[in-house]
Parts: sequence; structure tokens; C-alpha cells
Amino acid sequence: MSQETEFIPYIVEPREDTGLYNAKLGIWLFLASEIMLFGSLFSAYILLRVGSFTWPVQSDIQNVPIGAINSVVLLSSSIFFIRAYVALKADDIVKYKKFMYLVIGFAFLFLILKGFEYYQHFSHGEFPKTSVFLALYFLMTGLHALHIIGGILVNSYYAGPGLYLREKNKQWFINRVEVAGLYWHFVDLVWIFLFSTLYLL
Amino acid sequence: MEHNSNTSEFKRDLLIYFGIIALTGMIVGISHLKLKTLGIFLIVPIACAEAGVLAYYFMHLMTKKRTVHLLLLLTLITFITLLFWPAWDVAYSPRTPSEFTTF
Amino acid sequence: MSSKHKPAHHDPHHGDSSHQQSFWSQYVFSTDHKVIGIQYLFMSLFFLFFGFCLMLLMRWQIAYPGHPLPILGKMFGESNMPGGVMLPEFYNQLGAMHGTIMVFLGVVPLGFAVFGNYLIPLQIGAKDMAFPRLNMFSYWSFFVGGLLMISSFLLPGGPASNGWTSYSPLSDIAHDGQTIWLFSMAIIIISSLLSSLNFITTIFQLRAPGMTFERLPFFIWAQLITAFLLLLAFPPLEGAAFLQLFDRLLGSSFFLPSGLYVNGHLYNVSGGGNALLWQHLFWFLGHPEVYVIILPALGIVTEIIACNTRKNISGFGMMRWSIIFLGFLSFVVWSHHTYLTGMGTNITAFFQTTTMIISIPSVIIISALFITLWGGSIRFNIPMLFALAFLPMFGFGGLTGLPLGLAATDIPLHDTYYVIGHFHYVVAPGVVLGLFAGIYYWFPKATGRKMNDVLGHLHFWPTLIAMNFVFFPMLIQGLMGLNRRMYDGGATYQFAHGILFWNVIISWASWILGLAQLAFIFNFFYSIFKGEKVNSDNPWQSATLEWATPTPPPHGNFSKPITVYRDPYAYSLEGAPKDYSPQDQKEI
Repeated sequence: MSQETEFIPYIVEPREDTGLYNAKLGIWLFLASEIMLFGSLFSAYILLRVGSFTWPVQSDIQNVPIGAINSVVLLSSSIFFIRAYVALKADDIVKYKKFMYLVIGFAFLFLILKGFEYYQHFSHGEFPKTSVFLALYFLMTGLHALHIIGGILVNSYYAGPGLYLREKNKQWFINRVEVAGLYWHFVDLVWIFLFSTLYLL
Repeated sequence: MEHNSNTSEFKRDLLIYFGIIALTGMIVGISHLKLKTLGIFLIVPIACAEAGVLAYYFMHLMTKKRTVHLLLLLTLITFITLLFWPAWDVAYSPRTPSEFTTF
Repeated sequence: MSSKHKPAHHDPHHGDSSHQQSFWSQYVFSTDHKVIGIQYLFMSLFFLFFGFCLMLLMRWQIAYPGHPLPILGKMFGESNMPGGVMLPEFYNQLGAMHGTIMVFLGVVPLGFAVFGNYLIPLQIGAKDMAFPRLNMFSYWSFFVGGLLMISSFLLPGGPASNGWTSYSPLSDIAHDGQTIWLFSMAIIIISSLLSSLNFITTIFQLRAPGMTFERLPFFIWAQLITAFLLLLAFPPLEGAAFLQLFDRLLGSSFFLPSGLYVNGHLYNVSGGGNALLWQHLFWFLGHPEVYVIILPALGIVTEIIACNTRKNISGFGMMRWSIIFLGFLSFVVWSHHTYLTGMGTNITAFFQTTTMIISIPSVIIISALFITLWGGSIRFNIPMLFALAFLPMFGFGGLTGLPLGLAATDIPLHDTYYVIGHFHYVVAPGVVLGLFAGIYYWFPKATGRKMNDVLGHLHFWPTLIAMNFVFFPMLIQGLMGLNRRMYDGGATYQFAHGILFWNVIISWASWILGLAQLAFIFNFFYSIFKGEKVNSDNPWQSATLEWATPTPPPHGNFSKPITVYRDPYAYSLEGAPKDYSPQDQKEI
């Protein structure tokens, strides 16, 4: 792998004038596009709600306690990721893996709670076709859940089979995990807005 | 952009963690009061604060270089543009019904 | 150590990698930006040709509505053209797919992905893109998305038929072709987003030592701004596509208002949606998209003009600021596409103002290019002919946009042939001529051979003349009130009878235009194998870095590390031995 880092510069070490290594700039660009993606859905929410005659009382339809618990779950997994990253940089692979398993575990917990919520809605006859609010809810949280699944896949790879990459180039692996962490924090950030908008307003 | 494994950074992260949870609890409480329009103007800024704190500390936004700051500023401007046209459109459109949504 | 042994840390990416890589990893699943650029080239040229043929077919129906198409008419089946006569449904499908394919699979990939992928690392002095594997993934996503889009022609109900703009509520209830359209768009958008972030990262991070932003060629500036537009403007369309897919597949009502009647019956959905939401989300992308179409061509033309006038570009600094300003503004003009949707006067006034303002940077750029010609030693080679033709054609097309940008004058012009004339003027004799210029110009670098000049003239002159005969009459027809997207070209409308004869002229001009492209197609493929070989790595004597490589550039591009010493258009410098001073050459 060192051939790759010789071929393309700034994979491992940052470039002086930008202060960034390539993947870090890349992930922030990606997150910028994600901001615009979720932003368009929030924009749709605002227009549809402000323009409609009636809008359901969201906190009556939604399971606010579970939503709040999910907020804590995702936030905790973010903190665990930070601990994992710190451990990785300190060369403590055992601790790194332990915390990554917690990250992934809590992500699964989030999905399970979400799945339970969806099941609750379906059993009350609440589907996307039932109302515009529910349609927005299912689309926005569904898209978010897809992002969680993507994050689970990436994090599992770096906590398991992907560890061989660390043998090839330690700093590159640390960078990769940092970049994955940025993505993961972003997923948490989106949830904060989703919870506030779709449950509490 | 380093987290030390020593306790001072960890304590700070823990503080932020509980801080965000506290803010979350606060907005759940405000939502419970069912304050309608006032509720929106309270909940949304607090949610933005939570997100800002997360981005700033966990995503190390404070140590990022000018490049990323500029990029995010650009994105923010574009995002706000996208977000505020519906409000303006509804406010000035002649088709808007005279009765507004009752929250 | 024997001098015959290569050093132990010899970089296997250089030169002899062909011995180690299989055919598949070198030419099919390659991570080399040049191979990927060529892959995009063949795909986008194919799509351009395909979309062009759709138009040729449409023009028959417009010129001779209800007449069976001789010979070819039987080929399209009884469900599309019974007895060789085109059905309105088929016409609409052709129209929607022509627009979609030309914009999203033809012109944008050609301008952005082909020239960007091939040239960005070369012009900044890098060995490859920042994320080569991601680049390969972008290409194959584009391939899958494009294939899916084309495959919708094989559906029983045919492809999407609601225009390239797919307005709701019709798109919500249309046949299956629309669903495939939405899925294809989602995949193509992802491909585009990943390419954008690759280009931006590469331009920021992989510039050679000495290559400051001010020393970047204007082509790179154009690609950088284009990449930002794609990065930030495409996601709302992705979001809108998800919303429309939900409406179609899960019965939601994002775009369906309450009380909607379909085929005489109240449509059984929850309602509460807003059809205009689709329009705004679409055009939030749609307007930056047209700048995505334009900017790469502006970049290409600037490179060619600088090289072939042997002068620095006049007002280069102004051009850089203009293009940055243009990028910003392009995000706040989109509602000039929705003037007729009943918006209030305040919001209309806002968009009118921004739309008028955005013409300023474009005018500055075109003017700077015109001024550059003054006092230059102009070499009239084939790329330069195309680049020179671009300037007045694009300028004229842009000017025809002004009445559309003002709300009052847009009222009679909206959705008429005037609009079609306007945007085709900027894209067809505008951007496409610029892209052709680029192909002729960089062909020698990629292949080591020149394209034939006689065939180049046979391509250029009829194309330029025919394009004007196709699109100028459309402006007249639009001013007379002829609506767009009518399958009979307006034959059923009394008021249109006086201008219907133009349809015949336009159609014949378009078929002649098609014939002229044969010269290009033949020239392109013939020259790859049998073209006249160039005897220099820098046959056009250009000062920019892409010419400082071997021909064609190997994996890794440059045979020695590059340092940049001067601005990109260092032509005819005082005291210089030659009339060009390459950027990587230390002495003047």
C-alpha cells in the first residue's frame, strides 16, 4: 500500500496550505452534499406544513419517549466512537475494538427501536399514504436509517476485516477511522434535527 | 485534531454529552407544553445549538482549516437559500388561504 | 549494484505496468483518470448520438404531422407508430427522453466528466485524481444509470413521457417509464456527486509545487466551480426524486393536492401535497445545471483561444472573479422558470433582479474572450474555428434569454418555441461547438495523431450553418405564440398556420445537420488508427502543463516531477526565445 501513498500525495500527511489530508476534505465535501440532500427534505417539510390547512399534532402521533431514547442512543454511540478513535491513536487495539463494537451495537439498537416505532405506526394503520406528515416522517427517517446502515457497514469493516489495512499503513488507517467518525457524527447531527422537527414541533 | 486519552479532553466530551442530553430533555419538555408558534421559535434554535455544539467539538470543527470553514459557510448559505424560499413563497403568494395552519 | 538492475523501490505504476495488469484492470476497471475519461467519452458520445437521433425522428412528426415515415416508420412497432404514423404518446416519450439524455447523459458528462477527468490532473501537475478508485466507481455508476435510462425504452409502456422536467402531478400518476426515469436519475446523481468531490479535492490538494490558484488555467477554474454547483445543487433533485418515488410507489401525496380529479374521478389519496414543490426542487438544481453545461465549454474555449492567439487572456483576473460570482448567483435565480405559477410580485421581483444580474459575469467572460482576439496572431485551425464560432453563438443565445428573464416579457414567451430556441442556441451552437473544439484540440495529446483537417471543415461549416437554420426560426415561431411540446407542431391551432412552414425548413436543416455529423464520426474513428501522426508532444505549442507529458501520457502522467514557474497563458513574452513559455520551464 505504500506504493499508493507514494503515487498520490497527502493521503497520510496533510498538505501544508490547506492543512488537510485528501480524505478529510473529501468527507467534508460529501457531508456538504448530504446537508443539501436532507435540507431539501426539510425545505419540503416547511413548505408543506406552512401551506396546509390542517396539520396533525405531531407529538400525539409520534412515540416521543422512544424518539428521545434514540437520541441518547445515537449520541452515546458518537461518544463511543470518539473513545475508539482515541484508543486507536494510542495503539490500544483491544480498547479500539471494544468501543467500536459498542458503536455498532448502539447503532443496531437505534434501528431496532426505529423498527419498533414503524411497526407501531403500521399496526395503527399509519402509512405514508395516510397523510403528508406521515409520508415525510417515513421518508426522512427512512433515508436517515439507510445512512445508519451504511455507517454500520463501514464501522464493522474497520472494526473487523478491515484491520489488516492497519498493518499496511498505520497512519492511513487512523485517517480512515477519523473520516468514518466524521460521517458518523454527521448522522447523529441529522437525527437531532429530525427528532426536533418530526416529533417535537 | 487530536483527542488526548488523558482525562481533561474526556471530561470535556462527557460534559458536552450530558449537555446535549439536557438540551434534548429541555426541548421535549417545551414540546409537551404545546406552545404552537412560540414553541417552534424555542425548539429550533435549541436544536441548532445542540447540533452546533456536536459539530464544533465532536467533529473538531474548531481545529479545521480555512478550507473547510469556507466550504461549510458556502454550504450553509446555499442551504438557507433552499430553506427560506418556501416561507417567502407562501407568505407572498396570492394563492395562500386566509386562514393559516393552526399548529 | 549492477547498472542493469532497476532500484528496489522502483515505482510499478510507471511505464511497464502493462506487463503486470490484465486487460480488464488496465482498460475496463481502470483507476487511471485518463482511461476513465476516455470511457466517459465513448459513453457520452453514444448518448449524444442517441439523443440526437430521437430528435431527428421527432422532427418528421413536427414537419409532416400524421404522415407515415417512409422506410423507417415500420421499425418502431405498432404501439408507437402504427402504419408508420407517430402516436402522440410516442412523440412525448421521444421529447422527454431527448431532453433527459442530452442533458444528463450527453452534454454534462462530456463537458464535465470527460474533459475534467482527462485534463484536471494533467493541467495541475498531478499523477492522478485524489480518489482513483472512487473515480472508477463514479464511471460505472454512470454506466449503470445510463443503461437503466435507455432500457426504459424496452418497457411495455415505453419510457418516461413527461418532459425532462417531469412535473407533478402528472409524473406522480404516469406509467412505469417514469419510475425507471427516477431510479436512473438517482444513480446518475450519485455518480455525479462522487465525481464532483473527487475533482474539488484533487484541485485543492494535488496541485504541483508553484501552482497557486492564480496560476491555474481558466479551464480548471471552470471545472472547480462546476464541481461545486453539482455538489450542492444535485442533492435537492435527489430528494425530489425520492419524494416522487414515494408518491408513485407508496401512495403518498407530496405533490398531489387535495381534491385532485384524475380521469373524471376524485383521486383516492390523502392529498395535502403541493405540485409546485416539485417545480421548485427541480429548478433549484435545474438552473445551476445549465451553468454546469456552460462552464466547462467556456473553460475549453478559453484554453484554445489563448493558445491560438498567442496572447494572454485579456481580463483573466476579471474572468476568475466573474466565474466565482456566477457560481454563487446561479443558486438564487431558479424561480425565473416558475414565473407563471402564480408567485407573488415580491418574490418575482427578487428573481428578476438576480437573473438580470447574473447576465453580467457571463457578458464579462465572453467580452474578455472577444477582446483577447484583438491584436492576436490568430491561427485558424479546426479547434480555433469551433472556439471562434462558440463566442457569437453563445453570446446571441444568452441575449435571447433576457426577455425570458424578465417576468413581464416571459408571460407570452413561456413554454413557447422561443424558449426552445433560446436554450438550444446556448447549448447546441454554443456549448456543443465548444466541446467539439476540445475534442479536436486534445485529440493529438490522447492519441498521438491529428484529426483530419478536410473532414474537420466538412464537419464545421455545415454544422454551424445548419444549426442556425434549425434554431433561429424557433425564436420567430415562439414570438408568434407557438407552444412547445405539441406533437403535431401546432397544426391544430388556427393562429399557427402562418408559421407552420418553418417546421419543414427546421426539420430539413436538422437532417442536414445530422449528415454533417457523419464527417465527425468518421474522422474521429479513422484518425484514431490512421490519422496523421504528430511529431511533437506539444503540437499546438501551448504553455499549459498537459502538453508537458509524453504522448499519450502514461500512468503517472509526467516523466519527472513538475514545478510551476509562471501564469498559464505565457505567450509572446518579451525577451523569450519562443512565442510560448511553458509553465514548468524555469527560464522564460
